[in-house]
Amino acid sequence: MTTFLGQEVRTLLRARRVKVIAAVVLYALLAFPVAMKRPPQSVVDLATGWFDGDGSFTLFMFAYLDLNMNKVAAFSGIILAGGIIADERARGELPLLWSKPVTRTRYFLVRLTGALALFALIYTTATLIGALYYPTQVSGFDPAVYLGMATVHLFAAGYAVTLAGTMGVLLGRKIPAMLISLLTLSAFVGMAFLPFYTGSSWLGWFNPFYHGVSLIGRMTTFTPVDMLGPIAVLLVFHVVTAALGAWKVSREEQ
Amino acid sequence: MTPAIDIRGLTKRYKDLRAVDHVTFTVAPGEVFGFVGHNGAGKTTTIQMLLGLIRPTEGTASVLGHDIVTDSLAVRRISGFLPASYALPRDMTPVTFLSYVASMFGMSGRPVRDKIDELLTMFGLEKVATKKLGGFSSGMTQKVGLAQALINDPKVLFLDEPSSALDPIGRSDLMLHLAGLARDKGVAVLFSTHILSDIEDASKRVAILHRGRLLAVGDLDELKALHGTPRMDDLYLTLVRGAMTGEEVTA
Repeated sequence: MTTFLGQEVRTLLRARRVKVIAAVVLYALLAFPVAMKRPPQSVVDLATGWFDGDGSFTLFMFAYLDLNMNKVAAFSGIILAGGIIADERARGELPLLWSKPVTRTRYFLVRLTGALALFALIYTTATLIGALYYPTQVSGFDPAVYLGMATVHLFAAGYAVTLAGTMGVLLGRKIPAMLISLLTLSAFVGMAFLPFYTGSSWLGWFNPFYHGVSLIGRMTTFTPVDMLGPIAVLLVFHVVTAALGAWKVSREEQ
Repeated sequence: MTPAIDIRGLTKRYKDLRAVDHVTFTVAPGEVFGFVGHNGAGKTTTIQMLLGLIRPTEGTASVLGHDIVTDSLAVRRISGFLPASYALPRDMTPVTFLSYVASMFGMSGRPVRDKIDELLTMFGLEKVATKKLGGFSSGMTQKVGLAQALINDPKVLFLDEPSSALDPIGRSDLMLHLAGLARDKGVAVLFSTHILSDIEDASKRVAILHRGRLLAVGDLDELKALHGTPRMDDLYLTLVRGAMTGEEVTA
């Protein structure tokens, strides 16, 4: 299956939509410090009150995760994976592809894993560019904290891919599936910081995007070990959601 | 010798409809076998069952000894298939698409590149090897479809209406390819069609299907002699009209 997965990633790398996503991510990454140049002091104080750390860097990380990467993730996930199987079905490609020695379940999982791998590649590249670029733009920028938080957030952002791919096979039709994915992801993203605003962490238990940003509550103290908890929770989200999609596809088998 | 395809009482029912009704025949290695019937006769359903894409309601079948239900992945590994109706990914080129299909068989590296070159040459696709499939005519698309069916050097080839989109020269070339594959590589070819002249050109043995039931199976010349029909289309019409008359009497 590694041969098929490798070919899937190579095929995705040539796809126009991947180039669009990469361009959008790069634009968001580079333009972001400009938008955050002179935040009002009241906003800085608010961020410091909700989260952890000193003013400007805390606000930067909050805005970077909430306004930038969460939105980019939701958009990218849907574009990348929203049409898995539904697209091929609509175009009439499935009769040919499903006659090959790959079960439908495995076909779905390889396609989904390929989209996740590509998303991770784009996200990681963007993060590394950010680690080099932001110290020159943001006062008090801490690359280690930024990289640690981005590593955890990658698993939450990638969940957009898993959810969109699974929704596509659950509903079977691309446009309704993409709309429902967009609504669901928008709700997740919109409520990701709710536990910080309200002080009730249980509000985020079932929200992968909360787990993706949860380290912002202990920005000055978290260690690499602290990253493992949210990552493990997020992996469970991925596995359960992908299993649901695989189950749906397996029901179509014969 | 193990038959390439061995079908015994294969049946597929959809509620009250018998799409395929107790079909039995065998195809030997190296044989080009014609599977004839009008649209809706059950040809595609039979082929899909043989590839394990749909589950039979009754009966058994094997492809080179591999059971089509319990060992369908092994069947697909040694088979090539061209569906009657399909589309190719518009954004891919023949080279990238054939590489993609090869990867589904676990094939990679130099052998795949050589195989793709061989297939592109075989079907005269060298000049369009890096052009997007979206711009291809139906005849060119069919050639790429045939090429993908051969990417894994199949021992059994299932072709569902392969000549329907081809012009006369393309059809003639296809029949020559099929004959060559059977003769030189021992590939068993089951090809379904409702174009009766293709059968006479390519096959020695045929099965004639009508509303899911097998009307006749055997050597084409013997069947023609048996029913006193000099040509394939006469044979087919005689059998089908006889079956329809029988159905009316029964009704």
